[in-house]
Amino acid sequence: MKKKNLKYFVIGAIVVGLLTGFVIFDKVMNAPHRQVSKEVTDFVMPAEDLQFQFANSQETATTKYMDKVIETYGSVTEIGLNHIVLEDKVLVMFLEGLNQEIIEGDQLKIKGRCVGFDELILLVKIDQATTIN
Amino acid sequence: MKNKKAQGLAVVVLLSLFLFNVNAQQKYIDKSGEIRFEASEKLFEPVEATNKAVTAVLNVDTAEFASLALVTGFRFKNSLMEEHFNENYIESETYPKAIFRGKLIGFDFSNLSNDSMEIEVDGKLELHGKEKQVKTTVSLQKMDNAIVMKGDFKVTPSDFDISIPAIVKNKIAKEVIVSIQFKLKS
Repeated sequence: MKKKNLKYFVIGAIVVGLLTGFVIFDKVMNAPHRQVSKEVTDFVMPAEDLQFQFANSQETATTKYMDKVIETYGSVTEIGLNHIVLEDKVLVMFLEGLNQEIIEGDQLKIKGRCVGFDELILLVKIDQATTIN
Repeated sequence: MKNKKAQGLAVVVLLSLFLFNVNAQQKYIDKSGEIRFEASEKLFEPVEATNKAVTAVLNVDTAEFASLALVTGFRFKNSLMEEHFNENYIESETYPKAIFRGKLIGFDFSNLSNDSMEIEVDGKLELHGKEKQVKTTVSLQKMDNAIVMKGDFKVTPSDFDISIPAIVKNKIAKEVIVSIQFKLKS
C-alpha cells in the first residue's frame, strides 16, 4: 500500500513538472510583442532636435536612441498611406494605421519606437507609433 | 564697368540655370516601401519578417537605384524570433542598416507603361558589415504617377557572415528569399 502511494506521488509530480515546463516553454516561445504605447517613454523632444542629433552624429545618436521609446512632436509635412512626416525630419509609421483625421500643417505629438536614421532621405524613422493628441 | 558687372551677373544667372538643370534630375522615391524575407523550412514554424518602412530611390535619368532598410524595423510574428534576429543574427545594434546600391540595366523612363515590364538590376547589398553582389530581375509598371517595382532574390546567411547555430540549423532554410515592393513617386 505504501509503495503504491509513492508510485502515485511520483507520477503526479512528473505530470505537474511536465505541465509547468510546458506552460513556461509556451510563455517564452509565444511571448507577445512589446506594446510601445504602454511603455515608459525614454525621451521627449521636438522632431527637429531628434533629427539634428542623428544628422550631427549618426553613431552616437543610434546608440542612444535605437529601439527606445520616444515622444516627438511637430507639424505634419507629409501624409502617406500608413505614415506621416513631422517637420520634414521624422517619419512615423503607425501600428494600426491612423486613428484620427490629420491634414498637413497639423501639430501632432506621437509616441513610438525609434528604428534609426535613414541616410538616403535624411529622416529619422519611428515605428509602432500612436498619436498622443 | 557697369557693363562688366552686368556681364558677370549674366554669367552667374546662366551658370545657376545650368546647375539647376543638372540638379533637376528626376528622382522617384518611396519612403515606406516593403521588404519581406522568408527562410522557412517545412514542418517548422515559419521564419519570416516584414519591414514596411523601407526607403527606395530611383533616379530615372541615370537609372541608379538605392534602397535602405533599417533592420530593427523587420517585424516577425513571433516576438522571440524577432529578438534573436536582432541580437544574435543580424546584430542590429552594431549594423543597423541594410543598403542596396545599384543600377537598372537598360532602363529608359519613356519605355515605362501601364503594362509591367521586366528589367535587370545589378548592384551591391550591404548588410551585417559585409557586401554582396546581387543581380536580379524586377518588374516595373507605371501606375498613376508612381512607378511600381516588384521582385525577389535569394541570399544566404553565410553571404553576410551570419552563422546559424547547429541547434536551429534545420529550422532555418539555407536560402533566404527576399521580396521587395516599392511604389516610387516623384
